Amino acid sequence: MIATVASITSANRLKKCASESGIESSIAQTPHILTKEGCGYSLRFDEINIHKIQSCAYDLNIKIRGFFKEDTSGEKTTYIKI
Amino acid sequence: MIYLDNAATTFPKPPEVINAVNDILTNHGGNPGRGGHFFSRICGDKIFECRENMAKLIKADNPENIIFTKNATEAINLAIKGVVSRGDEIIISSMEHNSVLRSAVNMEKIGVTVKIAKADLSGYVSPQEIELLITDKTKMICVIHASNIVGTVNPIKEISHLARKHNIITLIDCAQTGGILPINAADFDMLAFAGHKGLYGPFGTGILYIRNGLNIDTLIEGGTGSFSESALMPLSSPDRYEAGTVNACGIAGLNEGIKFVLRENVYEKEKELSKRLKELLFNIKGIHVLGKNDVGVFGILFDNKDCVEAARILDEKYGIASRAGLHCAPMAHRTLGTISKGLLRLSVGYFNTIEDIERAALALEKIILYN
Repeated sequence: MIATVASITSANRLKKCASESGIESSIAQTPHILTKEGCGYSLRFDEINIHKIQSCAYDLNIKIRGFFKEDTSGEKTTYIKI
Repeated sequence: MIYLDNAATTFPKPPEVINAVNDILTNHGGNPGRGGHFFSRICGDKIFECRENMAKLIKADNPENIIFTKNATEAINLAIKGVVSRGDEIIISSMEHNSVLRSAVNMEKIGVTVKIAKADLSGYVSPQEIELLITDKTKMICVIHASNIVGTVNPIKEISHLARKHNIITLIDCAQTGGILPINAADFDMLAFAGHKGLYGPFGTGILYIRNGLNIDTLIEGGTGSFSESALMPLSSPDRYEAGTVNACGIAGLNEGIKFVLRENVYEKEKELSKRLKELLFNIKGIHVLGKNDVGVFGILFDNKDCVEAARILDEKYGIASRAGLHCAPMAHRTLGTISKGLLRLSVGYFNTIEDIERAALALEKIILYN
């Protein structure tokens, strides 16, 4: 699952908070199809941790632009907004 | 050589600073915030780590408020030009460096009024002097934390509180104090730092701290790696203020410099060196040490010697690096009454020793007696 944010700095802050909560995550470029405004960054993490990531975002006052589930079962990856 | 020009830039740098610059250029040279690959990510991690460490140093609660610039001058230009506009008044002190004076005065051409709060003969700017100049048009107050000529520290917290009482934005020039004196970001709107001075980073690094909720205009516009479809700069910090590729290797080095000052007590070391230098200088006949020297900056006025000539002899004959002249602060020299003669400046740093100080004082004594 990915959470899209405004900047790489926000993504880094989220990643650090996730790590401090024992959650493994990584920073990736936001897939182009999900960005209305062009380039951006996201945090990729296991769906089970969504509440903890939400909690981090709340504590750090970071606006999550969207949570997306990744479906890789088809020919190309599709994204389902949560 | 003995290096006593640390107010211009600190030297030497801690080895880890050099290693970090080298590491980025050798191993992780991807453009940070511009891609998703390994090289970009590692480089981006270093940039973020530096923001976090700087935030920690100044007790800022959000690393997104740390903006990287190429030096303190650019940070100051961004702050001043991003805040004031036609019809506004800006108050600056008479001890300001040209980084503040010139960027403020340049705004006069668009209808900004610059007012000067006069410091006393020690270079101290009192909040009362500033308050006398405040009107309902005052948009900004900009004061140097410590003089780059005589090391006098100003009451910046009181000045900021005064400004807040009048709903005025403050900018503090911390070029001479960042990494040396404790600074609590919560007390200020904006703080400008030189990365290559008391933060022990490489050249080409500076920082502007902008408090939460204060959105200022941009100084330059361009790519940020975010919101690329928009023709306007993003509103969110730091991207809003960091158009173009950042100085990644410089910032990686700066990160190590900041970690160094977080670890070491730079101020205590400088205080010890300054105390000794002050004792020795005050006993030399034919010179006068001006200001309060609260940080390790000593402006020396000669009775009968050209300060540039003294600096040349110090360099060539005694292997001592100092700085002479007006130190890019002519208004401060007018305040101190030294505009016609200039001053010789000795400024200490973490890597100086008591022996350096004693040799410099002895050399000065000899220059006055024999040269």
